[in-house]
Amino acid sequence: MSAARERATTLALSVGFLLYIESSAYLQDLGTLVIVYALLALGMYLPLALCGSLSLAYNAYAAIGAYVVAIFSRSAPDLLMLAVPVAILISMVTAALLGFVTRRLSGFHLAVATMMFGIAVHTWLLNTDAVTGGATGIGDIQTPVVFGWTPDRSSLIGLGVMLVWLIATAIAGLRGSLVGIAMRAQRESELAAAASGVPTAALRILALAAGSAIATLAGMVLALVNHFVLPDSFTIKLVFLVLFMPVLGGLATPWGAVLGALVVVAFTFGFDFFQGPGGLTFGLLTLGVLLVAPAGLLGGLAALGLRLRRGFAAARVPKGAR
Amino acid sequence: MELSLLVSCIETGAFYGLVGLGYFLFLRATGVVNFAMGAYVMFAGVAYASFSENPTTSLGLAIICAVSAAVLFAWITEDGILRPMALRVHDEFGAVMAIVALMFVIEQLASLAFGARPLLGRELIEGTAVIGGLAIDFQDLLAVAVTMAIFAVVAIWLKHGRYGRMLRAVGDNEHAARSLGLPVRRVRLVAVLVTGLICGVAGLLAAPQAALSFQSHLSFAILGFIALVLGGVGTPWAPLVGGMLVSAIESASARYIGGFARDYVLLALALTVFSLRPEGLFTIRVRA
Amino acid sequence: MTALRCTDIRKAYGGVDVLQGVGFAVSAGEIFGLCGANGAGKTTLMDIIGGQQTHDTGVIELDGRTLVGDVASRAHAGLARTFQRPQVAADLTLRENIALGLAGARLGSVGQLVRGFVAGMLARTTVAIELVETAATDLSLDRLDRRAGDVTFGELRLVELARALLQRPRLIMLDEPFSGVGDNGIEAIVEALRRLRARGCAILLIDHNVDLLTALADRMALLAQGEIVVTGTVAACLADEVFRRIYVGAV
Ligand SMILES: Nc1ncnc2c1ncn2[C@@H]1O[C@H](COP(=O)(O)OP(=O)(O)OP(=O)(O)O)[C@@H](O)[C@H]1O
Ligand SMILES: [Mg+2]
Repeated sequence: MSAARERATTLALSVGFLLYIESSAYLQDLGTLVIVYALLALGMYLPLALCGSLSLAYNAYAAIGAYVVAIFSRSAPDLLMLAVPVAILISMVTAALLGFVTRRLSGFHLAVATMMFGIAVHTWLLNTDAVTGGATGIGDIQTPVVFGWTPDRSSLIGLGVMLVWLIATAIAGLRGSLVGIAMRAQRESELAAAASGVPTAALRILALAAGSAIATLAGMVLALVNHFVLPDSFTIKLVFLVLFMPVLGGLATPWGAVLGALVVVAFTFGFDFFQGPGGLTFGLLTLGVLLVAPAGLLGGLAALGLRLRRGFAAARVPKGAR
Repeated sequence: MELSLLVSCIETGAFYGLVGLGYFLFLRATGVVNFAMGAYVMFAGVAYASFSENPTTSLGLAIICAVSAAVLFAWITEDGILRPMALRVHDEFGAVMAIVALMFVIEQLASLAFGARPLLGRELIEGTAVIGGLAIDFQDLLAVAVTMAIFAVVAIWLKHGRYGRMLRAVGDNEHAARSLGLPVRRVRLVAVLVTGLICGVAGLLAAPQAALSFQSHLSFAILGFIALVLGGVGTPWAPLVGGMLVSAIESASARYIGGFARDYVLLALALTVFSLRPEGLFTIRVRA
Repeated sequence: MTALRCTDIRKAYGGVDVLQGVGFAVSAGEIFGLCGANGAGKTTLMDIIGGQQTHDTGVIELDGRTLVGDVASRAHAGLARTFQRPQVAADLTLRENIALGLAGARLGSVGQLVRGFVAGMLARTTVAIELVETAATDLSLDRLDRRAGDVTFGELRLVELARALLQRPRLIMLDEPFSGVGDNGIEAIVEALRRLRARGCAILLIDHNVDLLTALADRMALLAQGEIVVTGTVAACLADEVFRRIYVGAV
């Protein structure tokens, strides 16, 4: 699919999605969940699929987004808009720092360091009552006033959907750009990339920071739509849930991550996913996809489409020509 | 009082060291830092605790079930996941992802099979020894003794054993080892199964100490990994030193800062080690 | 004008001396051929210059400036190379692998990196397709949409060379660029090297094929026992007793 057609198709699908969830408050709840998961999955996708860097601190980045919004709303409601750049900055600096410390080590070191950071942040949220409200979190989060306009719930959700579309489209553009090529090349052959002059470590750090910024947006959407934050929304479980979305959807395009988020919410209706056999099924499914169908759902669809088209083309060839 | 603290610190350190030794062997054999290993330990521990809860179950049966589960997981990791994956993916990415997925699968399996409630295992041996006026449970002595024995056996095996010696060659350069005609696949598998065995025993030793739940594996995985990195991979004894260090730092921080600080202190410790002394400790699969 | 100067390079691998004080210089617009038996240390020397290997002692200068720092910064100082075993990203297409040379050249500083990143996200960078296509066509490469993992060894050598050319280097180092390459490819490489030389690029060339090397090079050196035992113009080398005995005689 050409880039322009991909953009038009996905935009139409996004608008369709928005119109569909408009119809009930319940669907809007589920829609919000899709937006939050999709943003988190996209944040994970960027360093993971492009650079091969697995970070497991996404619960922390989302928490930073949500809690910075909550704290601004509580302490400085007039400056609520300022929460956006502040939270993004905090996340990006942390992500860059974690990437920097492990820049010469293996991907396993990065995974462990980020996982520990995510766990430490959750502990901090639970135990620092004065700042984070402890186990009960922070409530009564206000809606920001954007140039005199106070968006209602539907508008916020609409903005969220547009955000997903914009970011997925931007990452799709990045994949084919020179920076995207450099990222994917260093993942497979660091030797070749470095010898060509690509600053490989800096590139990985950049991708990690950008991914964390996207995940921070997810936390903000969650806090603004729900009007409250709870520490237990940001446990390491969230990371596992989100990690498997890009894999299930397919790593070849960022839309795989979005599809993964949609599929997970559609199959669980937003219930706690890890009750009962759901989690096990999900984990096994992911392992299976990794092992036997690495292209994921979207990859499978694309292959099917190609085969159908070939089939039609073959059918159209007149008999005598064979 | 102080002395009993020391005993528990040594015992915890021995446990971390054991998990670190598991990492060490697995890394040597496959080049993969297998943090699903915490899940092997957890599964064995929770399984043992669950079986031994029923006073009529024989301990022997519970032990065999628990340890074989850990060995089975190790085998699945190597033959079911890592080797097929290596055929297809050229970078370490596939292995990292698969290990994370596996860790999650084992966690969920444990919660389905044994429930979410934390379980405390029965002591392997009962009774108390009095040494210099201090009462020490036989269980504690057993844990430390078994750990030391495992380290000694592994060290001797790596130095003099047939597969142990070949493992060093495979770990140094799998490609070269293969072209020398070493049975790389078999050597890897043997080391992986030994890893599973060690994890199973670690689970048995941990289960009577503190109640374990299906979520305990994360901290096992993290602490064992830090023990490995702190100690290094120079000798098989290094993870034991690392484990003791981690345990000492952990209990000092609990004492002087407070229990809540554990996660922060461990994070700081890991980041410090990663930035100051990673090279020389890791020689396999470290980015140039 | 001297482009590359190496002085007294020494390197030991775990106690085994591989290079024991190697010194030579390559001028701009010159093809310098380096030969030596298997295991003589030719690739090691190239790795040391490129920054892929550390060395024990010695100085490397490019255009009069000491060459230090990591591999990428040396590339930005004007160094490009190919590898004895071609290094490409197998899952990327040939086109993308070649474009990597452009990417490297344009992503030197953190500022360039961030700008490139933002431009990529806004889909503002069109990968300079013509540059890539031209570089490929010049080297007789076609069907650039193939995965690099699916093409022949010889084609990978050409991909590597095209990638290196797009870096617009001051010095290019080629490690056995002809081995495994078909006749068309060899001709294309020879042509490309002549054009590079005319442009004033310094070329360091390793190959076992003495006939090709002597036909192409301006000057040569023979590496043996960790030292350069013979060096000079091609004619002088071919006339040299030692060179004939060690190298030509051996082939
Ligand atoms: N990473 C390494 N560790 C230890 N020894 C090495 C290493 N790389 C190369 N060597 C040794 O250094 C010597 C020089 O190797 P090098 O690859 O530089 O030779 P070469 O001249 O390029 O040979 P060839 O013509 O076969 O490519 C060889 O004896 C080789 O075994
Ligand atoms: Mg060589």
